[in-house]
Amino acid sequence: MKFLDLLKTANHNLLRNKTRTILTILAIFIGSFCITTTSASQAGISSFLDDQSAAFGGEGLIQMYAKSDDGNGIAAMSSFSSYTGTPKKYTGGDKNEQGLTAITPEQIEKVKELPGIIKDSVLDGKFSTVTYVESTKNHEKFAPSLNLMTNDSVHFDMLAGKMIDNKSDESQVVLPNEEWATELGYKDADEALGKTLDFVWSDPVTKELITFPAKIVGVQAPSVVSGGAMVINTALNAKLYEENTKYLPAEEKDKVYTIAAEFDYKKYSADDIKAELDKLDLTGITLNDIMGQIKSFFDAVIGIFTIFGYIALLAAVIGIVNTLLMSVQERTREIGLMKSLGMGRGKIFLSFAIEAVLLGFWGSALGAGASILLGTWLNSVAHQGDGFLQNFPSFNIVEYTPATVIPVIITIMVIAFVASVLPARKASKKDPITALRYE
Amino acid sequence: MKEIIEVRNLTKVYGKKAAAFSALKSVNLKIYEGESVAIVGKSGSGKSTLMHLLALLDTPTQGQVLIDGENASKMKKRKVNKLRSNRFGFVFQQFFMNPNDTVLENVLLPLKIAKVKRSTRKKRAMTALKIVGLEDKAKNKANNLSGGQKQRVCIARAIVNSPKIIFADEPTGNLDSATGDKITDLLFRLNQKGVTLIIVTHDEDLAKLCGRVIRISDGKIISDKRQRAVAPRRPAAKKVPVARKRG
Repeated sequence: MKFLDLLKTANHNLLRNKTRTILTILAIFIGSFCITTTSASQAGISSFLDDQSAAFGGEGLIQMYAKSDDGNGIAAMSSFSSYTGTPKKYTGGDKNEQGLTAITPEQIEKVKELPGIIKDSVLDGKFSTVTYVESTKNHEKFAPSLNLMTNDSVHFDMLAGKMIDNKSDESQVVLPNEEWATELGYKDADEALGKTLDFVWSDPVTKELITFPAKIVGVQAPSVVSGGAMVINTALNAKLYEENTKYLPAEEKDKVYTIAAEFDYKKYSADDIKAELDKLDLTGITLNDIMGQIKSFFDAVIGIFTIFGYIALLAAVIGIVNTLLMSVQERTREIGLMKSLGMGRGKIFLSFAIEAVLLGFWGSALGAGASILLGTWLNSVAHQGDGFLQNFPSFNIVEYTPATVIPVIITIMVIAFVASVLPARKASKKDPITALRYE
Repeated sequence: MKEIIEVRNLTKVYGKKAAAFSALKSVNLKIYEGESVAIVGKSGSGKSTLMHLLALLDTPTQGQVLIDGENASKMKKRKVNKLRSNRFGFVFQQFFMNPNDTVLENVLLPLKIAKVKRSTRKKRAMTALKIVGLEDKAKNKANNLSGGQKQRVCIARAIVNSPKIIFADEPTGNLDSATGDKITDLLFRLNQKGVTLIIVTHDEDLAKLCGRVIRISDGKIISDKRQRAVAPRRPAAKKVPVARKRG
């Protein structure tokens, strides 16, 4: 028999017992649906994270903490010790309430001199705060959280305007999203551009209100990486910090716990920089480290779902074996006839194997198709109007590409083929005379 | 006359050791091209075993089957399969049809297996159906035919690939005598056109029609006689259309 005839015969045989075929396909369908959906959501999440961090840039961004006695600063920061309720002894020294050790001005100077570190990108971690901001348009008051940013390699996804300029002497601010613009009394993000936002600091001693007007230079698109904080430039930060620390002794004013900088990531690897920082008793952490942690968390969760998908598939495989064994049994005489008419063992084997592969194909293709339909619907619902992802237009919960779907289908077809080996061998080994005598 | 099958010292033993049973014991036989041979014997005599061995459906425990002088046990499997699909035709007592396929599909099957081109398959199958007088049933399901019609479909299937030898295992065994006669008539008409006919039967009337009768008992040939074949009775009722040469 020619291959096309084998294919047609196999297809024909599947249609002979429709109920059984449909049930077997259904079992494969479930497995395929699970696997396609999990792999698509993995693709969706990871491409979203990639997009976000690619849009953000920041390949050269590195944050530094002083190494503490018990290992490093980051460990201390991320430990759950503060939540366990265990009383922690005051050890004095330079540690802050989070257990971070202060970075000395000498260390900062040395960081600035490190090869690879871009000197004027170093943010010394003197983070200012503000009592409130007040709109010059509708005079509403808001309490924002403030953020500083290096702006050499970082690219924000901007809805309007541009990022702050740390080299400028003018006070600048970027709003976290469009909602801020409307709350401040502007029609939309574009209208807020160039307008003034007043940063107000209430002097803790004199109760005097000190106002720092800042120009709104941009409005960000929603982003998980940059969070919901207002970004101010270093010029504004320095003025605010000066007021914030007015009553502190000089050495306290200079106490910082974290510094950020950019390094020349085209010439130096993050590991090189980290090694250099280590010599200065500093620990560096890059954006990639953080994204890597987030990703590996998602990967682990999705990995578990994928395993469940394959378990479902394993059950389906047993279904295939069972279906084919029954089919071989039922068609014993037919096999005998075909053999006596000169059909070779290989062809008999192949005809059953093709049947299994077809089952695998239909089950997996339909499962993947259903997953694509459902996922596409879910994506559109999530982004629609007040859907739960309306603020993240670029985030698709599930993302289907030929590169994620086709391997699933092919894998299932291969698995189906493997499942067919036992029944197909049984069929091919049948002795024509015994098979013909079979009642 | 050219010999088409030769059997030398053929022995077939089923089972092992204590349970061993010799179905055939050192059988020697030559069958010539164009002969009509009846292999006659009681059930259990070994006649079916002999036919299976002649048709290369089974392998002998000892001895040789030579097809056109070539030892079949030395042939590659692929060649044996090819031989069966291109040179042999089979007619079974129980028909062995795929009941849910159409008559045409059943007749086509040997051509599919022999890798005949798609375009010529249908033409040849229809010609074969015309010979057995069932061309109008081509689209019917095989299951909906009567026993005689089924056996005619089987003959169409057996001749569709223009075989040199037709093996018929009790071809009239499941049919009433009138229908059986029609089938017999068809088979002998093929024989007159040069097809070697090997019929396994216990029906003495059918055996009388053959040019040679081989009697088997207990796994041995007890007689092998050539006879003047009695012309097959023509069924009085319905005439089977005259076979035309297939193109």
